[in-house]
Amino acid sequence: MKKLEKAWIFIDAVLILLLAFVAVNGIHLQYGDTVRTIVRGVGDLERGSDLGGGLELILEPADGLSPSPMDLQSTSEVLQRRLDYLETGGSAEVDQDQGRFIIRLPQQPSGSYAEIIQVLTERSALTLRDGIGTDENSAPTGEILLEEKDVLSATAAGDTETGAVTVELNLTEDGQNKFDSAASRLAGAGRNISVWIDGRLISVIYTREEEVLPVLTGEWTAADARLLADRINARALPLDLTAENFSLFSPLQGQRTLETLLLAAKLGLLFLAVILQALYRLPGAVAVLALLGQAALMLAAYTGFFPFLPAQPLTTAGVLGGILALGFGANTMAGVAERLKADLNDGKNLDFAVGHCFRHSYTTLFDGRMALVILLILVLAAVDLAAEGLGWLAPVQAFTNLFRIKEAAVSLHAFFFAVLSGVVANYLMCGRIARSMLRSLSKYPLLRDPVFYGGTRHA
Amino acid sequence: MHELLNRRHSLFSAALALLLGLCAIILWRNWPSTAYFSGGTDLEYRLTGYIDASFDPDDAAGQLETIAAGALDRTVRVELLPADGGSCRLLVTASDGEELSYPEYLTLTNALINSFPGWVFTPMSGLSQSSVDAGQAFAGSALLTAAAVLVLTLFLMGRFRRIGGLAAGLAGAAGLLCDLVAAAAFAALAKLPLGSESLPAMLAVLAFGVYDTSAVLHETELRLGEGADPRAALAEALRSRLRFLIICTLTAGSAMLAVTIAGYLVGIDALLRFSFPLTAGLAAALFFSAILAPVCWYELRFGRHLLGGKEE
Repeated sequence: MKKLEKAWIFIDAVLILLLAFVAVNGIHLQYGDTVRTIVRGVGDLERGSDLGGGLELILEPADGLSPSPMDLQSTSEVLQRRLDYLETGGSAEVDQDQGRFIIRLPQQPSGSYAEIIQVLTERSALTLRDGIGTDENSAPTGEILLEEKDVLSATAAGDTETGAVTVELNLTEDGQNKFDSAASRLAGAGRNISVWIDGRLISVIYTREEEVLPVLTGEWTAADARLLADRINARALPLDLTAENFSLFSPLQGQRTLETLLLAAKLGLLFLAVILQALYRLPGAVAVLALLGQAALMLAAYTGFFPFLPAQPLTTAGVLGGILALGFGANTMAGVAERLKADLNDGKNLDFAVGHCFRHSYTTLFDGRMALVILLILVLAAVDLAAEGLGWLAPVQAFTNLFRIKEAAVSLHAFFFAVLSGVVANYLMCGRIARSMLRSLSKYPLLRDPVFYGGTRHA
Repeated sequence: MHELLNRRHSLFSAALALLLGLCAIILWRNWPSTAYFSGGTDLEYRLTGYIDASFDPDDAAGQLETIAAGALDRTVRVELLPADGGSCRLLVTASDGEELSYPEYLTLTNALINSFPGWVFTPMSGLSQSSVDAGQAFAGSALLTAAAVLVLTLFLMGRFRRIGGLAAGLAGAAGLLCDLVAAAAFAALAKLPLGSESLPAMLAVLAFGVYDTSAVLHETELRLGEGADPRAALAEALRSRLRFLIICTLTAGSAMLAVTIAGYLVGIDALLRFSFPLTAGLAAALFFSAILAPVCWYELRFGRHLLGGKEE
C-alpha cells in the first residue's frame, strides 16, 4: 500500500472524473432502435412541476358543505378514472381534513388545462328519459327511465360496412328489464328514449325498430365515441365541484429556472474554486477536486445510481440545496486547510500536519454537521409522513398543515434530501478522498515545500 | 479578544441596539409576503410584442390594470418590469379579498390576451391560495422554524454539557434567533417578500449559525480541558476560529451569491427569495452566532450568579 501512496492522487482523480461523467451522462446500451438505461444520467431525471411545468389544483364542493367520507372516496375514484381516460398522467388525492381534492397535472402536450378541468368538474350524470321534451331552461322534462346505477359499462363500437360509430350500454339485469318494458311502452305511444348527460341531450334511441337495443348513436368520430364511453364508464361525480386554489408553472418558466440554476451552480463552483485556490494553493486545488466529487456523488444520489436510494425528481429546491451543500463542502476543506497551515506554521512536520489536520477537522465537522443531520432526518421524516397522507401521525396538526399542498412537501423534501446527501458526500469526499489525495501529493519530493500548503519555510 | 470580553456589556448593548434596528426595519418596510403566506393570487406572464423605445411601462401597466380589474370585477395590482430579450414580466397580484379561482384565472388570461392584439402574453407561473390555507402554511412554517431552533438548542445543551450545557443552549438559541431576525430584515430591506422559499433559507441560516457557535465553543472546551482559565480559553478560541469562520462564511456566501446574481440577472424572484436572506443570514451569523453567542455563554456561565455561574 505504501508504494501506492504516490499514485492515489491519480486514482482518486480518475475515479472522481469517472463518477462525474457517469452521474451526468448515465450509462445507456443500444440494441438497434432499443436503448436500455443501465444508469440514469441527468437527462433521464424526472423534473418536478416547478422545473418541468405543471398544475396543482384544489377542487372543492360547490355547496361549501363537508361531504361524507364515502362521497369523498367515490368522488376521488371518479376523478382519477377521468384523469386516466384523458391520458393526462395526473393524479387525484383526497384531503380528508378539508373535505376537498388535490389534482396534480404534469405539463400537457396540448399546453392547456382548461378542457381537462372542465371534464373533471362535470357531474356527467347519465339518464335515459321518456321523450326529448325540455322546459324553458332547456332542462329535460321526460320521466327518468334508467339512471347510471342501471348501467354496468359502455363500449364504443363501429360498423365497418356502414362506417357508423356507436356506444353500446351494457345494462344490469334490472336495468335491462326496465329498458325493455319502457321501449315497448314508448313504441306503442310513438315516443322515443332520450339519453342525457348533465342535462345535455347526447343521443336518441328510436323505439320503432324491430329490436330496440341500448345503443347510442350520433354524428361521432371513433375518438368521440371512445371518449363518451370512457366518460360513462368513469361514472358521475357524486359531488358538484369547483376549481379553487391553484399553483401553476409553465414549462418555459421551468426551463428558464433550470438554466438559471445551472448558471448559478457553475458560477458558485467557480467562485469557490477561486477563493480556495487563492487562499490555500495545493490544498485548495485538492478541495476543488473534492468538491467536484461531492457534486458528482450528490447527482448520483439523485439519479438512483445507488441501489438503496430511489431516484429523486429534480426540483428548484433540490438544486438550491445542492449548491448550499457545496458551500458546506468548501467549509470543511477550508477547516482542513486552515489547520494544516497552522500546524505547518507551528513548525510541525508535513506528514504529521497532513494527518492531523483531517483528524482535527472531523471533530468540528461532526459537531457542526451532526445537529444539521439530526434536524434534517427529523424534518424529512415529518415531511414524508405528511406527503404519504399519514399526517395524523405528526404530533402537531399545524405542522402538517404546512405540507397540505404536496408541492410544498415535495419541495422541502427535495431541499432536505439534497442537503443531507450533500453532507454525506461531503464527509466521503472532503474527509476521506481529499485526505488520500493530499497525503499522496505530499509524498512527491517536489511538492514537500510547506509553502505549497500555505505554511512558511523553517530554517 | 480579551478586550472584547472585558467590554462584553457594551457588546451586548450594541447587539441589542442592532437587533432593535433590524426589527424596526422589518416593521418599517412592512415585510410583505407572497400569496403562499398571505393568501390571494400572484401571477406572472411574459409579455412580448411591439415593445420599442417609445413603450411606456407605467402607461401600459395602467391599461392592463384596468382591463384586469374589468374582467374580474375586482381590484388587482399590475406591475410591468423589463426583462431579457426585449420582453417584459407582467406581475398581477390580487390580494384584496379572496383568491382567484381557476376559472377566474382563465377569464383574466383570456382578457389580457385579447386586450392588445399586437402583444403575446405567455402565462409563466401562478399561485392562488385562500387566506385560510395561507394562515395554516404560515403557522406550519413558524412552528417548523421554532422546532428547529428547539432541536438545535437541545443539541448545543447536550454537546457542551461539560462546559455548561444550559448556558450554551440558551446563548446559542439567542444567537440563532438574532440570525433569523437579521435575515428577515435584509429581505425586507430589499423588498423581497416572504415566500415558500424563505423557509428552507431560514433553516439553512440556523444550520450555519449552530455551526459557528459550536466551532467556537468546541475550541473553548478543548482549551478548558487543557487547564486554561475560561476567559483566556474563550478569547483564544475566538481568535483562532474567527478567521476560519470568516472564510466559511465567504465560501458558503459566495455559492449563494452566485444564485443571487443569476436570479437577479434572469429575473427569477423565487431564487432571490431563497438566496438573498440566506446570504444576509450567513453574514449575520458571523456576528450573532460566532461572537455574540459564545460571549453570552461566558456571561451566563461565569459572569453572573446565573445558571450556577460564579462571579468573576
